[in-house]
Amino acid sequence: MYYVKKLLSLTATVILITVLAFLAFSVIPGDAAVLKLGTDATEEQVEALREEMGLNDGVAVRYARWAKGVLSGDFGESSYYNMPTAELLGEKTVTTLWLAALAIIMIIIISVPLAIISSVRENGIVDRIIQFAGQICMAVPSFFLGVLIILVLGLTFKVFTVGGYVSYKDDFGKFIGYMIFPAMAVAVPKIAMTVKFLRSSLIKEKQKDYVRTLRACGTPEFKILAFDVLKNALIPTVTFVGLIIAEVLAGSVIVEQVFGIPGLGRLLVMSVQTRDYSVLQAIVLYIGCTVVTVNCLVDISYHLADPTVRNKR
Amino acid sequence: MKKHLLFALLLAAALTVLCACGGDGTVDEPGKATDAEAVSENSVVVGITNDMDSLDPHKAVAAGTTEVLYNIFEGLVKADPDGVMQPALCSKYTMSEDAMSYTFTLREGVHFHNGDDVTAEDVIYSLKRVAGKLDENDVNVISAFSIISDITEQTAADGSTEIVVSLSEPNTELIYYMDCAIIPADYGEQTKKPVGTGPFRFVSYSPMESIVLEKNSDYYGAKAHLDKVTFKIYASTDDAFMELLAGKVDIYSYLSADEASQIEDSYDIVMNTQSLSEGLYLNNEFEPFTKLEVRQALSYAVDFEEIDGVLTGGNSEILKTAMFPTFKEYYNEETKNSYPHDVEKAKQLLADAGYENGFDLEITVPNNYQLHLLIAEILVDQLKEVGVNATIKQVDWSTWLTDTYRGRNYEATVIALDSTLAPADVLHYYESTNGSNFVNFKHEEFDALYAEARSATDKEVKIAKYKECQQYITDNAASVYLMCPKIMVAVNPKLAGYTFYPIYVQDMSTVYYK
Amino acid sequence: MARKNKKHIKISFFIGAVLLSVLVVFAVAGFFYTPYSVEEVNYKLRLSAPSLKHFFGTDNMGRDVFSRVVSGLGATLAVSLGITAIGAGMGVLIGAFTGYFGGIADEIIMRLNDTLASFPSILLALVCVSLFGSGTANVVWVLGVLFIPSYARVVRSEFIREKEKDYVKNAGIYGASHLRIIFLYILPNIKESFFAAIAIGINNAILAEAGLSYLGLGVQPPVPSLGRMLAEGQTFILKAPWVCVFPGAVIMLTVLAFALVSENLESRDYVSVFGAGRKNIRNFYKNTAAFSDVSYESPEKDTLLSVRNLHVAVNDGGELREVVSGLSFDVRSGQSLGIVGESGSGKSMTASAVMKLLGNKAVYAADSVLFDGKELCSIKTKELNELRGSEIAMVFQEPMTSLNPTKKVGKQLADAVKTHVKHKKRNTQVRLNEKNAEETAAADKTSEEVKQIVLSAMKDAGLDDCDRIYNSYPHQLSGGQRQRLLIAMAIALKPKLIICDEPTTALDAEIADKILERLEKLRDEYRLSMIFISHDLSVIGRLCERVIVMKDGIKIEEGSFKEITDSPSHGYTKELVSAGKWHELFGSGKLKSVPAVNENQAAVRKLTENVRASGQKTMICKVENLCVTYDKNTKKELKVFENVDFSVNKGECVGISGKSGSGKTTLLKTLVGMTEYDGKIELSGRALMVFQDPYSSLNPSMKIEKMLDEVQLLQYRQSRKNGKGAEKNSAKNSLPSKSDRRKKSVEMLRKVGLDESYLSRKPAELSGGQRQRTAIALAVITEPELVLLDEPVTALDVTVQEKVLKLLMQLKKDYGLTYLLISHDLNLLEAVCDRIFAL
Repeated sequence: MYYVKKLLSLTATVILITVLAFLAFSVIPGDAAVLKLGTDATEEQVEALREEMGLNDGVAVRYARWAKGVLSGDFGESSYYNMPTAELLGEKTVTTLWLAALAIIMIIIISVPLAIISSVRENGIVDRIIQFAGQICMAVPSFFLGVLIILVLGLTFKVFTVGGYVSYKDDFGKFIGYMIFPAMAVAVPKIAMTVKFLRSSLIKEKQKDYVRTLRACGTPEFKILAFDVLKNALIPTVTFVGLIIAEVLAGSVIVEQVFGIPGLGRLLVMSVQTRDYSVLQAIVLYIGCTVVTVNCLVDISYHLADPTVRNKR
Repeated sequence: MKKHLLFALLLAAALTVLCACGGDGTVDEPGKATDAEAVSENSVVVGITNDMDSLDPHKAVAAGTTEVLYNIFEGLVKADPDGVMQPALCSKYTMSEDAMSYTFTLREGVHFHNGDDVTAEDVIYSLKRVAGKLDENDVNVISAFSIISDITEQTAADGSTEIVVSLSEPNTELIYYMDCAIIPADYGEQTKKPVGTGPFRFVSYSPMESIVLEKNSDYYGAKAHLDKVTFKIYASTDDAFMELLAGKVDIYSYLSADEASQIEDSYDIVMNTQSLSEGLYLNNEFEPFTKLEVRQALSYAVDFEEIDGVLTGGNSEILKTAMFPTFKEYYNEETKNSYPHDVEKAKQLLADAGYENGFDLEITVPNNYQLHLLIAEILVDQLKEVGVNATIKQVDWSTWLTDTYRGRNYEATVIALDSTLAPADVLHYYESTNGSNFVNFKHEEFDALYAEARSATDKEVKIAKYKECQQYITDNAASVYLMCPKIMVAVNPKLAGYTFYPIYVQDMSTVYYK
Repeated sequence: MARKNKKHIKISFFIGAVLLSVLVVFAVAGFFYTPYSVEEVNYKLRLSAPSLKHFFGTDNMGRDVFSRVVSGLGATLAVSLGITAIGAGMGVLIGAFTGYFGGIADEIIMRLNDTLASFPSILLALVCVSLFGSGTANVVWVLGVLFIPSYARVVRSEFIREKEKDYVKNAGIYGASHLRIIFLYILPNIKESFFAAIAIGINNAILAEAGLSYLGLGVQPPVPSLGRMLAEGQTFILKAPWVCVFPGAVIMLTVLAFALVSENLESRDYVSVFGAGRKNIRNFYKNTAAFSDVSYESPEKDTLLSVRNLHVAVNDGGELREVVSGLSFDVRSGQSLGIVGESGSGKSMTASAVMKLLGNKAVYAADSVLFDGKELCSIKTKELNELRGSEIAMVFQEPMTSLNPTKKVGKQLADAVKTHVKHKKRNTQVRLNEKNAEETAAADKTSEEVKQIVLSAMKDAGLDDCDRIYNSYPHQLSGGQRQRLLIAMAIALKPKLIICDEPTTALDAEIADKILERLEKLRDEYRLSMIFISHDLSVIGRLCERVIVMKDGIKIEEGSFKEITDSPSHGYTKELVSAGKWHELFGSGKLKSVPAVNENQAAVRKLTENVRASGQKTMICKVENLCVTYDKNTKKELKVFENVDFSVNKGECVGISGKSGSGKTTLLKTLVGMTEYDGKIELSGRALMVFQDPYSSLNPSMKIEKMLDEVQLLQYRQSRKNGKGAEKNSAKNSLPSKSDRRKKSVEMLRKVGLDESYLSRKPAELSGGQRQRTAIALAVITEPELVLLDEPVTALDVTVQEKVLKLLMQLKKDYGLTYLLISHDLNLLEAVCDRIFAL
């Protein structure tokens, strides 16, 4: 029963997001028709195009038409690129997904060992260094970090060719090779946050009574840490990482600008500027759905991992 | 000649134009300009910072798009570097005495990219489509073509086919609009797979990434030297500049002076004055600007040398009226030295107009072109000296178009107006009844002068009349005109043949490897 | 007493504070004076490198980067403070109300919160800024609204946690309004985590504003903004890096400063020994070995464990405080030793020290700890691990938390056993131990056999239905079952010595009884030697022949159980012996007959009434067929009790006894109007309550004086409100002045045995006993008609219990109060109550 209730509330949230987005767009000044015609179009021409694009009907009518389209899988046509939104969105989404995936892999691979090391040798020098470095990484604005990475790694040390973006369709190896660096810019502040969270969770878990019981039974320290403490400490961290995933997906807009990656972020900024409603709406729907599903997955995994939670609901 | 406005660079991301003087510390030159495999393939990568708004020539509005489509499509005539309309798809053209009709003789043996012959029917279809005569609700129309009454085909004495364009009123300048693209009749796939007659053929386009063209081997005119041209689309100028530093791009235009100074040793920098009138445009119905003295005071308060010095490295050409030097004989030279920088006179004029302690002014600036913002910031500093305290309100491009340009609710704005080669086109903004008169410059006297200039058939009379128009605009300080900014293009030293045209286009057919 | 350690300020907090003040000084100065005007364009000096004239060099328009950065910093700080003010301000209100009231409003607002959180913040900013035009004001309110969810979520979770606490319920009983509770009671207690959230919030605000400005949407020119400077500077990164690096660096430093400050605001709930610094620990070890006043003869031959001169120290606010000093004792094999002492006497610390389980909570030193011939002080961890669990095992006090909540119980026990089975196989010599010879002799131990060992151990520990329990999770078992599992875990490998640290204290009387019985049987069957630690002498009496009495870390007496109980030599031991024998203390006769408390608490019985004392009968509280059901008419409906009738006369002390979970506390709550009920309650006058747990019944952030003053104030307001009602008492009519109220508070404190100096103290600075005395003072000061006492002494130390109970009886006499006393300890009720009900 719990899952059904969860699903219902999720769909409600997604619908709410799209309604909010639609209201927001209908209020912004400047519209696609004027944009299409440029400066010297006459009043009637603008009216004619607006009629053709259906911009004059009421917000509710447009929303209904859009919603019907979405349900039947048709996301409408991009008014700026005159091509079906789905097609336009398709490729760009994959690029952003890869950026997010790489960032998340980095977060997991780097933050778990760091957190373990700093929690095992608590208050030691290593722990202090990791904590201080974490503070600094969290303080760096992501776009500044992006610029620095391009400057240092790209131009001075030529570790990667700046602007060497290659679409995943043509050459996957080069694509990943390039994408690592923007992923780094996205991941670094998030890694610092995860390390801090996981470290305090590990330390709290280590003080729990059951660890003392295990020690009393002679279980070696590393076994306790690896199997019991780490597992229990990871459960709340999954929720924390869940939130971060949502941020990474929605927030890579700026990093895409800095690294010139034709992903959703850039498309988002462009479609707002060109008032390209169908593309905007599709992106908002995509980001809203992803964030909501991620939260749902995190919730379920929390549910499965922690038996005590299971029967409380 | 398709009418479009350069400042309608729809999606040009923020572009910084800075002066180049005193570039201390040259950049340690990262990688050679072109890597090996590009040379052997005889292809070129051109960096552009705005995406195609449409591949259909009649629908494309943004200057950034027509710049590229210039290589794929051609009209009946084509402007040469000096601004003279040379025959293209027509072998020759004549205008009737009463300037009521134009006759074009169709060139023989010209094929479209898909191999079909170019027939009179295609030409008529294209011209009608652009003139909005095909079907009523066809929206993209060149307003100047509204005076076309009929387009007919006839066979001349020597058997060649001719197209006759007859007008409802005399117009000597229509020829400048005749470079509009000729496309195969009823070909529906223009937005997906454009077909034209130009020196290059369309290969592929992926949004936000690139558009690829290849050589049209059976082009009737001078064939292109390059086999393949890739126009790479960048997110921002900074993004493109980073790749320039990495030597991945062969040609990149709209360079800022400062970017140019950083890559001087790895690229050739070619320059040309843009046919643009950059200035502080005043809404004549905004209270203080209803008074002539106030508008003149502002013209005196502005210091062109400082703006040119800071922003365009002293290369730009000063401008004190609406028309710019590209129009050669039509351009009124004398206006150049009016309103010299004179703070005292400006203060005096303001006092006369009853604004001795100045007034508040909000300058609206579109954020799609960095030069406007930087000029506005300098103007804020300069206007403060005469007591006018100005603030800047940045808006994105579509808001500027809807609110400021069409809605006209603004006090002053910094923008650059461009035009086709037709003199009438550059002054139509100031005709009281014209829809584009966003500065609300409503003077019957000017309207009369403008009408006379437009209808004059004798060249001398036309030139004199146009000059009078410009003098009127300058005397009445319709707005504060500043300059024609300089355009700078980085070209791979191995390449040559990059040519500038009065209306800026990226003609790749003349480019070749040395 | 947990004292807040002020001395121990971390260096990072210091750096953060210094950095922050420097930045703020610059920012504020920036508003008034900058070396160059922010807009002054001067193209001759464009992009000149940092010099004395221009500290940060000049930008592309010749403007001085330093002055722009300084005023930019001012703008950024102002903007982010504005954003945080809106976000935090609104966030607190929303969080407080949704957390406190809950219900549908909570659900809807939380749903909105999630939506706002999942909405891409950049898009919302783009939309609003395009809508209202960019500019400082718009950026502030747009980002302000965006930050509300993060604050609301923090405040809401804090409110949900705090509102369950007793001091909030108490405030409700005194008559404090909801608003007063929210702002005066709960809000001050969540200050620390709220300030931490604000510091983080400011960081996010700075980064968000910088992000927006980077996209050209934030603060508009000519007002300088660090974010935009960073964006514009990016083009000259190679030629003039200072234009872009300095603004970026200043953003980073500001965010870093706030982060360091906020990190130390979070409450420090755990301080490890290392916090006391390496130096302290080293010299602690040095001086212990020196003096060992008690000389002890060498241990007899059959001694299993001999401890010589054991010292243990914990970190108390930065220095090491000794909790066990110079303890020496022996345990002979097959013999059981009892260690008795109150909490804080160091008995548990001794056990942990022997087993080396102190981790980094405490540090210990000893001349020698010999176990079965092996010196534990200097043993290698690998060898120690082989001993622990197989030779020497331990049973802990808290069954609820001593098992890993996320692992099946059987698996946990099997893992423990498996580690030792592997040890045994690894060191080839087969330890000849006739008890479990047959198990160890078997060559390979498959997991199936390990399971058998575990199951047989569980049976030994008295668990039935072992297979079901084997596959269930800890939270699915009762306290008693979990304690038996711990015992099973301990005896699985038939250790030589078992240390039990108060195994039955947390359990109900009869289950505890069964566990002790089981331990006795195991000890005899397997001839285990045992160390039994407890604060209750009677429990120790059942199991141990010899007893040690400990007080404040020192062994004050040692001897056989009979010697200790019959002729205790030390005064403190006398108190311990007599503790819990309420009859002698109160000299009250035994009740004629006391209804046996029945085991099955689910069965609801009609209350039987046992009348003992006579006395004039002015009824002040009458209850008729009272019935309370939780979650009425839902699937989980639980009937707590039904048709309960009883009455309380003035001046009486009525007792209610019953097993835990029998609804005693719920009954009191109905009287105070905190739970809905069916049936009739007539109460003439006011009823106040004293809660069981002294640590949660007082408002941690309020001084004692304020608490006492608050109670009188609220009581006065309530009586004025229903002044027109029945009870019209002139003394309570006019609001007593502040000094009168203070005088009354001082008098009340003296009455409960606390002097005037306590007025200015906060609960954190009081001991358990002192807190309970304060709680009593709070309940009695306004002389209510009825005082409800919910297990008032159970949570206190044994010796303190007697004093507090005596105080209660004294107050009843002085003020002629009427008590309704709840306790699970029947003989306590018999000693003090006139009439007793069994629930």
